[in-house]
Amino acid sequence: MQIKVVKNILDASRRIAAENRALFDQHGIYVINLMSSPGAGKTSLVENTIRTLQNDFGIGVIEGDIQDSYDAERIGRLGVPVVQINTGGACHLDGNMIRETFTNFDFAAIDLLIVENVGNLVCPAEFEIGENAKVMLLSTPEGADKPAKYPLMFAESKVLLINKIDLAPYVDFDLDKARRDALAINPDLEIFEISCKTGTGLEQWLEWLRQKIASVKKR
Amino acid sequence: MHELSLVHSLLELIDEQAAEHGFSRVNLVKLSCGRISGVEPQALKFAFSNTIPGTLCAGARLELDILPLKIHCFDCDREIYSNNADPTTCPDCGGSRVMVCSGFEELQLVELDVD
Repeated sequence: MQIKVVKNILDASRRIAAENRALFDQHGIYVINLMSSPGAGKTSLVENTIRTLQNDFGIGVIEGDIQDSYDAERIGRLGVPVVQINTGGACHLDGNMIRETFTNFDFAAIDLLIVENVGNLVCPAEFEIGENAKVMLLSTPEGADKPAKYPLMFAESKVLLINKIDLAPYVDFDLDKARRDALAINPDLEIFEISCKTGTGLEQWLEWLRQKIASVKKR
Repeated sequence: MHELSLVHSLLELIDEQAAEHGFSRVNLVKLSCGRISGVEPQALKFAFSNTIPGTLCAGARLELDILPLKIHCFDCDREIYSNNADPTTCPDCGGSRVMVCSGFEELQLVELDVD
């Protein structure tokens, strides 16, 4: 007997993500899922974002790493609630892991939840966690060929932050190619050129984020 | 990298189908995914064959239909199917003024053959 099915294999994990999202919506929390290679500057970006926005908004952070709690300690020093998830070898965060952190947060006091995914250019793109936006960080030393080589990451993201822009001249980063290829894959992608080191371009990113937080904010 | 968890999700989906349609044995599982969806066919088949013993799918065949990568090239001014893994280059003219039309479709269960 033949049975026509046509169902997405990831529907079960997507259902959990949708439940997470409903909870975030109910509390007026904007959630970003921050993805990049290891070493692209995710934690520095999170630190910069917190320092500028923490007087205006309640911020919570979830740190995903295979092991260690170094990142959570960095973020904890800024005085915001942070939970470290150690995936113990898994290459990405999923909706279930995110859900398990909820008891650690007072959602009434949070407007922005930043989820720093495991450093990886492949798997995080394929899993939803209940985020409003996937934000992709590409640093110039990695090379401008990354959109062409890891297209799904760029296809799934709403924002591309090109970090370490101050290093671009020293590492022969072809900015035009990176932009062109990323937009070929995803014409709606918002692209900001930033440097967490010098502060270049961060204001445009933060303004984008402020508007998004305000659009869902509870009060 | 997570093909094993895809297989676990697939087997759960098949269990749901078994409860709905009342079958006890699966002969063939047909899946589809886009050319650049991130699913690695060999890893998926390996994970499937190692997971199915003792399940409804024990002994079942797995077929994976890979949906083509289609891009629009603005220089050629047409849509082109590409066997190229790089979706940002036109396979005909080599130009990079392109837009991806399809190829990101995620893994789907399409059809089962069951007893």
